Amino acid sequence: MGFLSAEEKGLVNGLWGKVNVDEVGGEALGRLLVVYPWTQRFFQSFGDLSSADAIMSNSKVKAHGKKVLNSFSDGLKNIDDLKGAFAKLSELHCDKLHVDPENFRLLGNVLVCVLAHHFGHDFNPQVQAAFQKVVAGVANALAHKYH
Amino acid sequence: MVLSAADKSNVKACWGKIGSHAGEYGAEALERTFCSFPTTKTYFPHFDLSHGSAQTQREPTMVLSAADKSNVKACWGKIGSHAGEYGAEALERTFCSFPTTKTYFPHFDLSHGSAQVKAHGQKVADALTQAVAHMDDLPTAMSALSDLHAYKLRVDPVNFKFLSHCLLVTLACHHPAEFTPAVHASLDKFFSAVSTVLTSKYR
Repeated sequence: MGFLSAEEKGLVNGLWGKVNVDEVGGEALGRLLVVYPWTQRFFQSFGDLSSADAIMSNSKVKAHGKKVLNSFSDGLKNIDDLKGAFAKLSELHCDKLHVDPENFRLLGNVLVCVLAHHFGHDFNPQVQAAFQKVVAGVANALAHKYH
Repeated sequence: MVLSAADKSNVKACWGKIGSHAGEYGAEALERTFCSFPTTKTYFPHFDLSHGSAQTQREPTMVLSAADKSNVKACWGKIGSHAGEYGAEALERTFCSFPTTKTYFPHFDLSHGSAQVKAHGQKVADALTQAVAHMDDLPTAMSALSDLHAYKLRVDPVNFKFLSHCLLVTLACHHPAEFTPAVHASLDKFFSAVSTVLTSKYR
Protein backbone atom coordinates (compact mmCIF):
# COMPACT_ATOMS: atom_id res chain seq x y z
CA MET A 1 0.00 0.00 0.00
CA GLY A 2 1.27 3.48 -0.84
CA PHE A 3 0.91 6.52 1.35
CA LEU A 4 -2.91 6.43 1.22
CA SER A 5 -5.13 3.41 0.74
CA ALA A 6 -7.27 3.27 -2.40
CA GLU A 7 -10.29 4.17 -0.29
CA GLU A 8 -8.51 7.17 1.26
CA LYS A 9 -7.40 8.38 -2.19
CA GLY A 10 -11.03 8.15 -3.27
CA LEU A 11 -12.18 10.22 -0.30
CA VAL A 12 -9.50 12.88 -0.84
CA ASN A 13 -9.96 13.20 -4.59
CA GLY A 14 -13.73 13.09 -4.23
CA LEU A 15 -13.75 16.12 -1.95
CA TRP A 16 -10.88 17.97 -3.62
CA GLY A 17 -12.73 17.90 -6.93
CA LYS A 18 -15.36 20.18 -5.36
CA VAL A 19 -12.87 22.64 -3.85
CA ASN A 20 -12.44 26.14 -5.32
CA VAL A 21 -8.67 26.03 -4.90
CA ASP A 22 -8.13 29.76 -5.44
CA GLU A 23 -10.73 30.78 -2.85
CA VAL A 24 -9.84 28.16 -0.26
CA GLY A 25 -6.17 29.13 -0.60
CA GLY A 26 -6.85 32.73 0.31
CA GLU A 27 -9.13 31.70 3.16
CA ALA A 28 -6.61 29.23 4.61
CA LEU A 29 -3.66 31.61 4.43
CA GLY A 30 -5.77 34.43 5.87
CA ARG A 31 -6.93 32.31 8.81
CA LEU A 32 -3.33 31.20 9.44
CA LEU A 33 -2.31 34.85 9.84
CA VAL A 34 -5.33 35.60 12.07
CA VAL A 35 -5.23 32.52 14.31
CA TYR A 36 -1.40 32.33 14.58
CA PRO A 37 -0.34 35.98 14.26
CA TRP A 38 3.37 35.20 14.63
CA THR A 39 3.19 33.69 11.13
CA GLN A 40 2.84 37.27 9.85
CA ARG A 41 6.63 37.52 10.22
CA PHE A 42 7.00 36.24 6.64
CA PHE A 43 4.64 38.79 5.17
CA GLN A 44 5.88 42.19 6.31
CA SER A 45 5.54 43.51 2.75
CA PHE A 46 1.88 42.53 2.42
CA GLY A 47 0.44 45.80 3.71
CA ASP A 48 -2.45 46.02 6.18
CA LEU A 49 -2.57 42.95 8.47
CA SER A 50 -3.85 44.91 11.46
CA SER A 51 -7.17 43.10 12.02
CA ALA A 52 -8.94 39.88 11.05
CA ASP A 53 -11.06 41.82 8.50
CA ALA A 54 -8.01 43.56 7.03
CA ILE A 55 -6.17 40.23 6.67
CA MET A 56 -9.08 38.34 5.11
CA SER A 57 -9.71 41.09 2.53
CA ASN A 58 -6.01 41.75 1.78
CA SER A 59 -5.41 41.16 -1.95
CA LYS A 60 -1.79 40.06 -1.46
CA VAL A 61 -2.89 37.47 1.09
CA LYS A 62 -5.49 36.15 -1.34
CA ALA A 63 -3.03 36.02 -4.21
CA HIS A 64 -0.38 34.25 -2.17
CA GLY A 65 -2.92 31.83 -0.69
CA LYS A 66 -3.99 30.96 -4.24
CA LYS A 67 -0.36 30.28 -5.21
CA VAL A 68 0.27 28.10 -2.17
CA LEU A 69 -2.85 26.03 -2.55
CA ASN A 70 -2.39 25.50 -6.29
CA SER A 71 1.02 24.10 -5.45
CA PHE A 72 -0.54 21.84 -2.80
CA SER A 73 -3.13 20.75 -5.35
CA ASP A 74 -0.39 19.84 -7.87
CA GLY A 75 1.30 17.82 -5.14
CA LEU A 76 -1.89 15.81 -4.64
CA LYS A 77 -1.46 14.48 -8.18
CA ASN A 78 1.75 12.79 -6.94
CA ILE A 79 0.39 11.52 -3.67
CA ASP A 80 2.63 8.44 -3.65
CA ASP A 81 5.81 10.48 -4.01
CA LEU A 82 5.28 13.70 -2.09
CA LYS A 83 8.97 13.96 -1.18
CA GLY A 84 9.90 13.91 -4.88
CA ALA A 85 7.08 16.28 -5.81
CA PHE A 86 8.07 18.88 -3.19
CA ALA A 87 11.87 18.48 -3.24
CA LYS A 88 12.58 21.76 -5.04
CA LEU A 89 10.05 23.70 -2.96
CA SER A 90 11.59 22.20 0.18
CA GLU A 91 15.01 23.55 -0.78
CA LEU A 92 13.49 26.94 -1.56
CA HIS A 93 11.68 27.18 1.79
CA CYS A 94 14.88 26.29 3.65
CA ASP A 95 17.59 28.09 1.71
CA LYS A 96 15.81 31.19 0.46
CA LEU A 97 12.64 31.69 2.49
CA HIS A 98 13.88 30.44 5.90
CA VAL A 99 10.45 29.14 6.95
CA ASP A 100 10.26 26.95 10.07
CA PRO A 101 8.49 23.73 8.95
CA GLU A 102 6.23 24.01 11.98
CA ASN A 103 4.41 26.62 9.87
CA PHE A 104 3.52 23.94 7.28
CA ARG A 105 1.87 21.90 10.03
CA LEU A 106 -0.07 24.93 11.25
CA LEU A 107 -1.24 25.74 7.71
CA GLY A 108 -2.22 22.10 7.13
CA ASN A 109 -4.47 22.12 10.19
CA VAL A 110 -5.98 25.48 9.24
CA LEU A 111 -6.73 24.05 5.78
CA VAL A 112 -8.54 21.13 7.47
CA CYS A 113 -10.63 23.66 9.46
CA VAL A 114 -11.48 25.57 6.26
CA LEU A 115 -12.55 22.36 4.50
CA ALA A 116 -14.73 21.49 7.53
CA HIS A 117 -16.21 24.99 7.41
CA HIS A 118 -17.06 24.67 3.71
CA PHE A 119 -18.26 21.10 3.56
CA GLY A 120 -19.93 20.62 6.95
CA HIS A 121 -21.26 17.10 7.37
CA ASP A 122 -19.63 15.88 4.14
CA PHE A 123 -16.32 16.44 5.92
CA ASN A 124 -16.95 13.42 8.10
CA PRO A 125 -14.37 11.76 10.40
CA GLN A 126 -13.11 9.39 7.68
CA VAL A 127 -12.62 12.20 5.16
CA GLN A 128 -10.90 14.31 7.82
CA ALA A 129 -8.57 11.43 8.72
CA ALA A 130 -7.54 11.01 5.07
CA PHE A 131 -6.85 14.75 4.78
CA GLN A 132 -4.88 14.79 8.04
CA LYS A 133 -2.59 12.17 6.46
CA VAL A 134 -2.25 14.31 3.32
CA VAL A 135 -1.42 17.55 5.13
CA ALA A 136 1.05 15.73 7.38
CA GLY A 137 2.65 14.13 4.31
CA VAL A 138 2.95 17.46 2.50
CA ALA A 139 4.39 19.16 5.61
CA ASN A 140 6.97 16.38 5.98
CA ALA A 141 7.84 16.52 2.27
CA LEU A 142 8.38 20.30 2.47
CA ALA A 143 10.60 19.80 5.52
CA HIS A 144 12.53 16.91 3.98
CA LYS A 145 15.36 18.88 2.36
CA TYR A 146 16.07 21.10 5.37
CA HIS A 147 19.61 21.11 6.63
CA MET B 1 3.21 23.22 35.49
CA VAL B 2 4.08 25.50 38.44
CA LEU B 3 7.49 25.71 40.10
CA SER B 4 7.51 24.34 43.63
CA ALA B 5 9.67 25.80 46.41
CA ALA B 6 12.03 22.85 45.93
CA ASP B 7 12.21 23.50 42.17
CA LYS B 8 13.10 27.18 42.74
CA SER B 9 15.75 26.19 45.29
CA ASN B 10 17.30 23.60 42.93
CA VAL B 11 17.39 26.03 39.99
CA LYS B 12 18.94 28.84 42.08
CA ALA B 13 21.62 26.54 43.47
CA CYS B 14 22.50 25.09 40.07
CA TRP B 15 22.52 28.44 38.27
CA GLY B 16 24.64 29.87 41.08
CA LYS B 17 27.27 27.14 40.49
CA ILE B 18 27.36 28.07 36.76
CA GLY B 19 28.49 31.59 37.62
CA SER B 20 30.37 33.38 34.87
CA HIS B 21 30.18 30.37 32.53
CA ALA B 22 26.50 31.15 31.77
CA GLY B 23 27.21 32.96 28.50
CA GLU B 24 29.50 30.16 27.26
CA TYR B 25 26.79 27.57 28.10
CA GLY B 26 24.11 29.68 26.36
CA ALA B 27 26.16 29.69 23.16
CA GLU B 28 26.86 25.94 23.44
CA ALA B 29 23.14 25.23 23.93
CA LEU B 30 22.34 27.27 20.82
CA GLU B 31 25.00 25.40 18.81
CA ARG B 32 23.54 22.06 19.99
CA THR B 33 20.04 23.28 19.05
CA PHE B 34 21.10 24.29 15.51
CA CYS B 35 22.99 21.01 15.07
CA SER B 36 20.32 18.61 16.33
CA PHE B 37 17.29 20.54 15.10
CA PRO B 38 18.32 22.22 11.79
CA THR B 39 14.89 23.81 11.27
CA THR B 40 15.73 26.22 14.12
CA LYS B 41 18.32 27.83 11.86
CA THR B 42 15.48 29.37 9.81
CA TYR B 43 15.24 32.08 12.49
CA PHE B 44 18.88 33.10 12.01
CA PRO B 45 19.41 33.58 8.26
CA HIS B 46 21.34 36.72 9.12
CA PHE B 47 23.77 34.94 11.47
CA ASP B 48 27.07 33.17 10.95
CA LEU B 49 26.20 29.83 12.56
CA SER B 50 29.58 28.18 12.27
CA HIS B 51 31.24 26.85 15.45
CA GLY B 52 32.61 29.68 17.53
CA SER B 53 30.56 32.34 15.75
CA ALA B 54 30.66 35.67 17.57
CA GLN B 55 26.94 36.21 16.96
CA THR B 56 25.71 33.12 18.81
CA GLN B 57 27.80 34.11 21.74
CA ARG B 58 25.97 37.41 22.55
CA GLU B 59 5.89 29.15 24.01
CA PRO B 60 4.48 32.04 24.04
CA THR B 61 2.41 33.10 27.11
CA MET B 62 -0.90 33.65 25.44
CA VAL B 63 -3.65 35.30 27.46
CA LEU B 64 -7.37 35.49 26.63
CA SER B 65 -8.40 39.06 25.77
CA ALA B 66 -11.84 40.50 26.53
CA ALA B 67 -12.75 39.98 22.86
CA ASP B 68 -11.65 36.32 23.03
CA LYS B 69 -13.81 35.69 26.12
CA SER B 70 -16.76 37.37 24.48
CA ASN B 71 -16.33 35.34 21.25
CA VAL B 72 -16.05 32.06 23.14
CA LYS B 73 -19.10 32.79 25.35
CA ALA B 74 -21.21 33.74 22.33
CA CYS B 75 -20.18 30.70 20.29
CA TRP B 76 -20.60 28.26 23.17
CA GLY B 77 -23.98 29.81 23.95
CA LYS B 78 -25.15 29.10 20.39
CA ILE B 79 -24.11 25.45 20.78
CA GLY B 80 -26.50 25.02 23.69
CA SER B 81 -27.73 21.49 24.25
CA HIS B 82 -25.69 20.14 21.31
CA ALA B 83 -22.51 20.35 23.35
CA GLY B 84 -22.52 16.67 24.34
CA GLU B 85 -23.09 15.57 20.74
CA TYR B 86 -20.21 17.76 19.57
CA GLY B 87 -17.99 16.44 22.36
CA ALA B 88 -18.62 12.89 21.17
CA GLU B 89 -18.05 13.84 17.53
CA ALA B 90 -14.77 15.59 18.41
CA LEU B 91 -13.63 12.45 20.22
CA GLU B 92 -14.57 10.26 17.25
CA ARG B 93 -12.65 12.55 14.91
CA THR B 94 -9.66 12.47 17.26
CA PHE B 95 -9.60 8.65 17.38
CA CYS B 96 -9.99 8.50 13.60
CA SER B 97 -7.35 11.09 12.59
CA PHE B 98 -4.89 10.47 15.40
CA PRO B 99 -5.08 6.73 16.15
CA THR B 100 -2.41 6.93 18.88
CA THR B 101 -5.02 8.65 21.05
CA LYS B 102 -6.94 5.37 21.23
CA THR B 103 -4.23 4.00 23.52
CA TYR B 104 -5.92 5.88 26.37
CA PHE B 105 -9.19 4.02 25.84
CA PRO B 106 -8.40 0.31 25.58
CA HIS B 107 -11.45 -0.34 27.75
CA PHE B 108 -13.85 1.51 25.44
CA ASP B 109 -15.91 0.42 22.48
CA LEU B 110 -14.70 3.04 19.98
CA SER B 111 -17.00 2.12 17.10
CA HIS B 112 -19.24 4.80 15.55
CA GLY B 113 -22.19 5.55 17.81
CA SER B 114 -20.64 3.91 20.86
CA ALA B 115 -22.56 4.69 24.05
CA GLN B 116 -19.26 5.00 25.95
CA VAL B 117 -17.94 7.63 23.52
CA LYS B 118 -21.28 9.48 23.70
CA ALA B 119 -21.11 9.54 27.51
CA HIS B 120 -17.48 10.61 27.47
CA GLY B 121 -18.22 13.32 24.92
CA GLN B 122 -20.88 14.69 27.27
CA LYS B 123 -18.35 14.71 30.14
CA VAL B 124 -15.82 16.65 28.03
CA ALA B 125 -18.54 19.08 26.90
CA ASP B 126 -19.75 19.67 30.47
CA ALA B 127 -16.19 20.42 31.59
CA LEU B 128 -15.77 22.90 28.73
CA THR B 129 -19.10 24.54 29.60
CA GLN B 130 -17.77 25.02 33.14
CA ALA B 131 -14.56 26.44 31.75
CA VAL B 132 -16.48 28.93 29.58
CA ALA B 133 -18.37 30.11 32.66
CA HIS B 134 -15.12 30.67 34.58
CA MET B 135 -12.71 32.00 31.98
CA ASP B 136 -11.44 34.62 34.44
CA ASP B 137 -10.07 31.95 36.73
CA LEU B 138 -9.55 28.69 34.87
CA PRO B 139 -6.95 27.26 37.31
CA THR B 140 -9.41 27.42 40.22
CA ALA B 141 -12.44 26.27 38.24
CA MET B 142 -10.58 23.31 36.74
CA SER B 143 -8.47 22.38 39.75
CA ALA B 144 -10.10 18.97 40.29
CA LEU B 145 -9.78 18.02 36.63
CA SER B 146 -6.24 19.29 36.66
CA ASP B 147 -5.44 16.94 39.58
CA LEU B 148 -7.18 14.05 37.81
CA HIS B 149 -5.15 14.49 34.62
CA ALA B 150 -1.86 14.94 36.50
CA TYR B 151 -2.04 12.14 39.00
CA LYS B 152 -4.44 9.58 37.57
CA LEU B 153 -4.98 9.89 33.82
CA ARG B 154 -1.55 11.27 32.84
CA VAL B 155 -2.53 11.85 29.23
CA ASP B 156 0.55 13.03 27.34
CA PRO B 157 0.25 16.78 26.65
CA VAL B 158 0.48 16.34 22.86
CA ASN B 159 -2.97 14.76 22.85
CA PHE B 160 -4.70 17.92 24.07
CA LYS B 161 -3.66 19.57 20.80
CA PHE B 162 -5.26 16.76 18.79
CA LEU B 163 -8.58 16.97 20.66
CA SER B 164 -8.56 20.80 20.56
CA HIS B 165 -8.06 20.70 16.78
CA CYS B 166 -10.92 18.22 16.36
CA LEU B 167 -13.18 20.39 18.53
CA LEU B 168 -12.46 23.27 16.14
CA VAL B 169 -13.22 21.04 13.13
CA THR B 170 -16.50 19.88 14.71
CA LEU B 171 -17.60 23.44 15.45
CA ALA B 172 -16.60 24.56 11.93
CA CYS B 173 -18.77 21.81 10.47
CA HIS B 174 -21.86 22.51 12.56
CA HIS B 175 -21.72 26.30 12.96
CA PRO B 176 -20.22 27.78 9.80
CA ALA B 177 -21.82 31.18 10.39
CA GLU B 178 -20.27 31.49 13.87
CA PHE B 179 -16.87 30.09 12.85
CA THR B 180 -15.43 33.37 11.54
CA PRO B 181 -11.63 33.82 11.49
CA ALA B 182 -11.75 35.92 14.69
CA VAL B 183 -13.88 33.35 16.54
CA HIS B 184 -11.66 30.54 15.20
CA ALA B 185 -8.68 32.33 16.74
CA SER B 186 -10.43 32.90 20.10
CA LEU B 187 -11.58 29.27 20.32
CA ASP B 188 -8.09 28.02 19.50
CA LYS B 189 -6.66 30.20 22.29
CA PHE B 190 -9.37 29.08 24.71
CA PHE B 191 -8.78 25.36 24.09
CA SER B 192 -5.06 26.00 24.42
CA ALA B 193 -5.60 27.77 27.76
CA VAL B 194 -7.76 24.90 29.04
CA SER B 195 -5.12 22.37 27.92
CA THR B 196 -2.41 24.33 29.74
CA VAL B 197 -4.42 24.27 32.97
CA LEU B 198 -5.14 20.55 32.65
CA THR B 199 -1.42 19.77 32.31
CA SER B 200 -0.27 22.39 34.83
CA LYS B 201 0.37 19.92 37.67
CA TYR B 202 2.12 17.26 35.59
CA ARG B 203 5.48 17.98 37.17
